[in-house]
Amino acid sequence: MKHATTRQVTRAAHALRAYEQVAFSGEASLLQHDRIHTEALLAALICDLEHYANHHGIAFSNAVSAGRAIHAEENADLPTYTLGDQVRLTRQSGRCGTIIGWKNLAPDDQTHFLIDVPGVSFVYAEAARHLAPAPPFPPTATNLGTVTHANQAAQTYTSIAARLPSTAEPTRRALQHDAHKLLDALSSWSGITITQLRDGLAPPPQRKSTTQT
Amino acid sequence: MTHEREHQDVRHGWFTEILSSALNDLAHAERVITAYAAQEPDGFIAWGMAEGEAVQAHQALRQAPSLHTATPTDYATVNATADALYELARKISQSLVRAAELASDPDDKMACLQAALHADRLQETLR
Repeated sequence: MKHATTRQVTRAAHALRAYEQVAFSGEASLLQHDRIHTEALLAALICDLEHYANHHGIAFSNAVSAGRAIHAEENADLPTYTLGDQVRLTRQSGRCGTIIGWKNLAPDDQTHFLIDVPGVSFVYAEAARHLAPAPPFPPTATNLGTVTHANQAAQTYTSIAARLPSTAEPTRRALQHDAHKLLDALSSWSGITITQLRDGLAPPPQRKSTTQT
Repeated sequence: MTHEREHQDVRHGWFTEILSSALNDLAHAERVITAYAAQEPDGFIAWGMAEGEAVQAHQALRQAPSLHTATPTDYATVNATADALYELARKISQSLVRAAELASDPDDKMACLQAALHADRLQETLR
């Protein structure tokens, strides 16, 4: 896929350069140096192509739709992800996280997926080509229930850590054991160290009280 | 053109109504589950995971830009059985999927889908 795209881009560059030479004969090429110029040149070429199509009785809009459809099909070969999917970030030393959303940074630009990696305070934004499906999160049995997703493990760890100071024995020991199990599972799955996880998933200092009267 | 505008307004009206209703339901579910989880001695063991999902669902939905001006209303009673909570979670999940379909703002849609994901997991913990 990568080679085909490079070849296609090279072909388009040839066509644009040839058009530029005709339109601005004798002047040095501004392609690849000036984005505004390149965009204007592209627009001018498309305008002339439409004149050409009209002159020869060709439906220009059909050609445009067909071309865009082929492009969309080529792009569709890239995997797409949905909310909750667990992915590996191939540009970020293979760390794993969960898709929490996506953004198109510019119209017609490729989608950037937003990924939450446990223990990391910021959100990653990566295109599909920099992602791969993550291995499944190892189901981790705890006293609260079996945890089956990484973000569930993170939330459960934070809940347990918040509750520990006010929990009496023997429940406290059991919950501490669960907390360690969750950190181990999260660390081996995500690639984040236990130290960083413990810091990143620590409960906020003031927890809202839920006292009953 | 006028009809299209009216249609959009109607859709947005439905969307806002479903969204507000889901937010109120989520806030209620969270309050009830948190109360259960706080009960000694084993409330946290029994309800800790459900509480986590309820909190995440509620927080996810609060990110919806269309909700920034809405304030949740208080429910009259705090009583709810575990069965009622399961039904509530199911209702919330369905409402949120419907709201996501009606949302025109992508951030609203994403907030609804994220909240629905956690509402589904909440249902799982309540089985």
